[in-house]
Amino acid sequence: MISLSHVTLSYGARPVVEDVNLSIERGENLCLVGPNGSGKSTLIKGMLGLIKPASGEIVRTKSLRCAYLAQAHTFQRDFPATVWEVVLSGTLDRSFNPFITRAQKKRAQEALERVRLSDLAGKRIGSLSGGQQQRAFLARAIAHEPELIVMDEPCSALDPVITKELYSLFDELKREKGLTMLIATHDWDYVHEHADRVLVLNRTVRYLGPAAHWHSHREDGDMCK
Amino acid sequence: MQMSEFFSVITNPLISRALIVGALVSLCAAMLGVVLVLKRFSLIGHGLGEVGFAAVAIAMALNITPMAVAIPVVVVAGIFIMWLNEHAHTGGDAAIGMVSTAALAIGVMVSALSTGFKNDVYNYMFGSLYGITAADVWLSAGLSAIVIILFLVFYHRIFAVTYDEINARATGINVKFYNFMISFLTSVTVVLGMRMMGSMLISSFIIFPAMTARRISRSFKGMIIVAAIVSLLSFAAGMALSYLFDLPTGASVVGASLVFLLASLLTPKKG
Repeated sequence: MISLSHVTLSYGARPVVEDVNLSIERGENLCLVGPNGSGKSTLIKGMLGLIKPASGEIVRTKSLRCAYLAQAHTFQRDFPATVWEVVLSGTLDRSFNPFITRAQKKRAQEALERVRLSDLAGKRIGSLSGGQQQRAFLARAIAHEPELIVMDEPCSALDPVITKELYSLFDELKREKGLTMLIATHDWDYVHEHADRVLVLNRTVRYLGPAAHWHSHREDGDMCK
Repeated sequence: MQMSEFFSVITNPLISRALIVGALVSLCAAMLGVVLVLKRFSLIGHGLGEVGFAAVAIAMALNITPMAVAIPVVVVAGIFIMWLNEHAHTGGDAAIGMVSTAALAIGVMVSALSTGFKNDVYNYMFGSLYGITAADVWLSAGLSAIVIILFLVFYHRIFAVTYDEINARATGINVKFYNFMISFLTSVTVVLGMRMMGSMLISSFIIFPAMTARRISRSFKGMIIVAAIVSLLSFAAGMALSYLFDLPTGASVVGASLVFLLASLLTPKKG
């Protein structure tokens, strides 16, 4: 899917992420943990092709269908766009067709039903609550029919009830569609309950391996050091 | 003014040409204005207007058809501004400021050196209803059709890139290409509108209807439709004022669109 070989990512001359070797395995839930400023978001942006590596190589399967869910925040609050327009935009991909097909509309409708937002489809997305907006963005990601969903602290700004709701949606999707997930998170309970593998990042990779092994070592000391 | 008088005015070839070109320019300006306002890149129209003025001044000094020079020069300037914004770590506002002030200086110097400030250059700066030939109408109609068709063909991707560029990039949409397309369509619209609105005011005409529409729209599609209606009404009102009171067209049209914008500021925002 995506593999990184000795990848360093920098902002200007300053390396933010150094010498990362990683290969995402199909069907896994890989959690990316690390303190603030450890380079998690930068690594994600590099993997999505949003920034080029300063050194090393990132190889992505050409036909890889990838979706992205960013941190919940007040995104484009004043932008006049309905929930439907935003979710429908998730059905677009590399291929080109000026028209939206019936199949695309159906995918968008199903995605909205999945996240239980069908009755808010006509509302301006900026008028939704944080949790509702994040569900709309998740619907946009689902509508893309991805093989891989990359999420950058998707629940960090949300209350525990909404967070639990979103986590159970992620579970359902993984089970039903065999999705591969990469989630950057500070929520160690989520990592404990759901991760298959853990990548601990603090500029360099401090740990990459099975989640169970990380949990037992985490009790002994701080692996982020 | 009586009905018969009104009909004789609008069927006058001079006026009817201006009406056709103006209506087409209004539609193009409305669509691009929505995208530029939402991308927070409103000033690019101003920068390109100044470049257009410089291109026209150079064309007139060399006795070449102004549009033949203006279109390629303004398109290249649009691409250059986008490139500066993305690669040279120059903020969008600084990139536009650089290009527009340089172009204005060049245009003024060329005009002064050739034959001083000709009336034609004045008309390109502030807009004029008159002097639009039948050939101009065909060229404007053709170019406007290209702008409108391309915008509609790429509509969904233009929306995706405008709303969330990062997400668009992550899902495989060629964001660079669509940003180039937006810049190209804006450049053509600026050149089309320069003749009637003037290079100084064309950018205001591009963004004011979009700003008006933003306050009263809930959807992207709705914003485009409202902007188009406001743009057409502003043009009609401005053109009437320009004709009746012999005022510069650009200022009259922008004045009318400003009235709409102020009215929208007084209405509560749509939730």
